[in-house]
Amino acid sequence: MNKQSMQIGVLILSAAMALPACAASNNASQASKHSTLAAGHSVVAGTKVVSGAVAAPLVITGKIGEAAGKAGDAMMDYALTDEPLEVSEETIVAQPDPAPRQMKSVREQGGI
Amino acid sequence: MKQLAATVLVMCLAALPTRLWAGSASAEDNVFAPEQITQFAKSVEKYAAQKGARAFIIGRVGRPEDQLPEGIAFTHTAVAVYSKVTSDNGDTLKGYAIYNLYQKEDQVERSEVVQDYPVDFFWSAKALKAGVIIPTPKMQRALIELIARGDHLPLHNPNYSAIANPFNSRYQNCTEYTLDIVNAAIYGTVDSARLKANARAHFTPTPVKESPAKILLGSVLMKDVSRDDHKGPIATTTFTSIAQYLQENHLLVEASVLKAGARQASPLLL
Repeated sequence: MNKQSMQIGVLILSAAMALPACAASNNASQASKHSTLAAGHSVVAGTKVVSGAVAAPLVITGKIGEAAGKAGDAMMDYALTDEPLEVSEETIVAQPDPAPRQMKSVREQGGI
Repeated sequence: MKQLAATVLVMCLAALPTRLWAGSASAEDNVFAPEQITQFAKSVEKYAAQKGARAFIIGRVGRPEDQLPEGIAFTHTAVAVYSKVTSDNGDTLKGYAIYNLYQKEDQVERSEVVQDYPVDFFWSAKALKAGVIIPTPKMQRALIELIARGDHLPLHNPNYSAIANPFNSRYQNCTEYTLDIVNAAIYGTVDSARLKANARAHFTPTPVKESPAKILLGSVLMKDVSRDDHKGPIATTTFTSIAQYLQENHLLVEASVLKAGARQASPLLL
């Protein structure tokens, strides 16, 4: 092993360690998270943990096509204010993906 | 010396088959206690809600801060929308839903669009620190309308590169996806050619301050780093460059940094 080979090795390693920091778009480990939080069955930091099944932007009512109507306009006007908004105290987490390993994980927790 | 060289090579070989960004096979797991993460995530939600933000851009630190390249403050960026959330047991709650581009777990050069919530977003954070960009109310409304129509979905390009060039559509990363959502909301189009032309005309990406040799090696060795979409110096979209873009175009209300334990938010340096 000569000096040049070692320099290349160091360069490769430093590239592997440093480059992706620009945008590490990694999702959280679903298995880790759901086994820890056991969504729907636990209290963490004094708040209940629930799984969010459906999320809908609060300025939109009904079908999106209705947003142009009278009621829709009123909702949209509301969006232009900066009044403080209410946030529920519950901790909402995404539901686990439907992969077999997740189903097994939930079943093992007694969720199914 | 030989032993050191061998050790380095073994480390290289060990790093290559894994997710590669931190030499760790479990980069996605939490480093903070669940209690800390849930409290911090809720504090970020409450901060944005107190400001009346119905849509904002959110950033997290996905690797140790001392390993972040110069000019990069956050590694993952997405759009948060104030929402009515129906839980799986039928309860109706209010909070923020987050629209992300995430790399696929088993195919890091590909990505998917995932809607999750603040705790999911911060679960794998390496620092309890959040970036919050609150656009003007009109800009917020345009973002919400776009997402409510589902127009954020056709903006997704599943070909992933961590240093994607925002001026073309060859690859996309989370921050470029966020920029594309912002520009689609501004210009009222999901046409990729128009969005990229407008980005070239008006948006200034952040230069990646790494040596060309290191970038070349990274692109050869790492599936989620490509440089063939760049000509000349490498520059990519960042959380900060999106904040600068909104500020320059009078579409920004505030850009802040929230840290766990801090008494108040500090301004993002633009």
